[in-house]
Amino acid sequence: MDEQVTEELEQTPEVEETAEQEQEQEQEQPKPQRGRTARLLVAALLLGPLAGAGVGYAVQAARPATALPPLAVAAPAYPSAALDAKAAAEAAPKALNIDGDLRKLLIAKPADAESWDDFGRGELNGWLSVGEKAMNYGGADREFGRLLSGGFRRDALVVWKKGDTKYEVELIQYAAGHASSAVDAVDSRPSDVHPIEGTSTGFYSAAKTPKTYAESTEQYYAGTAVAHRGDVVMRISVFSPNPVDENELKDLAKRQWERLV
Amino acid sequence: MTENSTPEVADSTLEAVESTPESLVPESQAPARRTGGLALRAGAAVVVAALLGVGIGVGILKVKYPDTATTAAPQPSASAPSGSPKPSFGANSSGYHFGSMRDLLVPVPNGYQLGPDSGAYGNDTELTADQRTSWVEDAVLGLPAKMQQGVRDRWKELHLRGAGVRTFRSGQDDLVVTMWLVQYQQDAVKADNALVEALGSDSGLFRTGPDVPGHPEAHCYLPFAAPGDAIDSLICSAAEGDLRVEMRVEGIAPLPKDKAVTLFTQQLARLASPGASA
Repeated sequence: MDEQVTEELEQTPEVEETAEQEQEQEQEQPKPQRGRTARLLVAALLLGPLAGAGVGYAVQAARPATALPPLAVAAPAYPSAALDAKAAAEAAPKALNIDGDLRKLLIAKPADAESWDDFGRGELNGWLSVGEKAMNYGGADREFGRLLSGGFRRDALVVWKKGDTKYEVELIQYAAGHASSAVDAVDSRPSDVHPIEGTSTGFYSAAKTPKTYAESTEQYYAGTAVAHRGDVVMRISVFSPNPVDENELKDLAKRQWERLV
Repeated sequence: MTENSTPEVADSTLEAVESTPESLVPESQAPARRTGGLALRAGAAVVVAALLGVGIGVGILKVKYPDTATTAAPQPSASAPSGSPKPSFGANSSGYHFGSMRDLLVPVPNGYQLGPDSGAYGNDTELTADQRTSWVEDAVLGLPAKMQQGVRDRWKELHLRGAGVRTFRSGQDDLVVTMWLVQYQQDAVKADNALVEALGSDSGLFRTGPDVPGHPEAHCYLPFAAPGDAIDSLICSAAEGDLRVEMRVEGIAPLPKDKAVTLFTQQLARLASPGASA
């Protein structure tokens, strides 16, 4: 609309013919010019990237190939000779001593001690079965189930007696996956305890007041030392008609712990 | 630390033995100790149990056995029907068992899982030669000093060829079964089993146990237990060719004896001669 207006304004009445001619020229010439520009532009748009890609490809293709970086890991190599089983077994890490015969890790019965039958259960071969162990407690049936569900594996012990004072040193082991039972064993502790040197949670304690045996009216003073190393619990129990000597208990605990470390 | 005289100790033990009222059991897990119920009889039972474990007697020690078993031994499954694939374990008609002890032991049945270790020997083990040596030493430990060397010599003579153990614990955590297989000369195996029967029934230290259906040669006994004991135990023994089978059971009283006998029967069926591999 504006264009038409300006064109009409430019068409001065003075030269009508020339204006008409010009008008015809103007109407004829701009049409092909505009179409060509557009086509040129489109062609440039299409050809430009093509040409650019072609040139880029040619340049890149002409360059020498870059070598690959070396592998980060050494290529696998296979031994040419068969493996010597004996040498391999010797080179393998040794089994932990707590996975061997636990009885060998127990402290020895003192030279001046008498033998004791562990409350009638005997000291047959140095092991206490789960049933025998449960029988050492009041409420043996529940103790039996508790030990088994806690992953009880084995219990090596040595017992002796000096006068009327009875000593029991145990190494109780729990099965793989039940080491928490060993941790729990150290967690339940009396109120008045002393730490065992070299352990993180181990303690020893000599009770000031007497307790009564289960199924009996007989009283005793208890001495207890407990510590754990992995899935093995070391438990020292002293039963005495008189209050237990703390220093003796401490020494026993220290000597037994040293054999586990 | 006053050294008290021994008579006093003995007195207090006797007192404790006589005064074991069942009423005063504190129903807690407090490590309050029982003053060993009837220590004397229990002690005797322990020694006899050791004898059962080793399966020896003074008479047996002096018996010489013909060496037929060992010479016949190293030809496994000569009687196996030809053509069928040879089983990896089992027994031949002469009673000789071949294959791994862990194959010969009954697998863990439904309702059970592997139980606690049997001392130093684990809960699912075929004993090595070294372990068999230490097994003899363990068997000797509970015996009177005079008998120990005799027992060692006897085992040396009998060529302990193999031993294996597997333990089972019930899903309810109320029963533990320990199954031992010990392999040595057939005649000695038989004699040991007969001795176990004699000790079990005639010594007066054991209660008669349940029968094992279909296996008259198998015998079960219950070691002495004080009345009201919460834990009971059971020993079963049998001879299967050159294998002596011994099962020890511990559990919450009353012991589910039928469950234990079922397991023992399954074990004996697995060892049956010939062709136990079915």
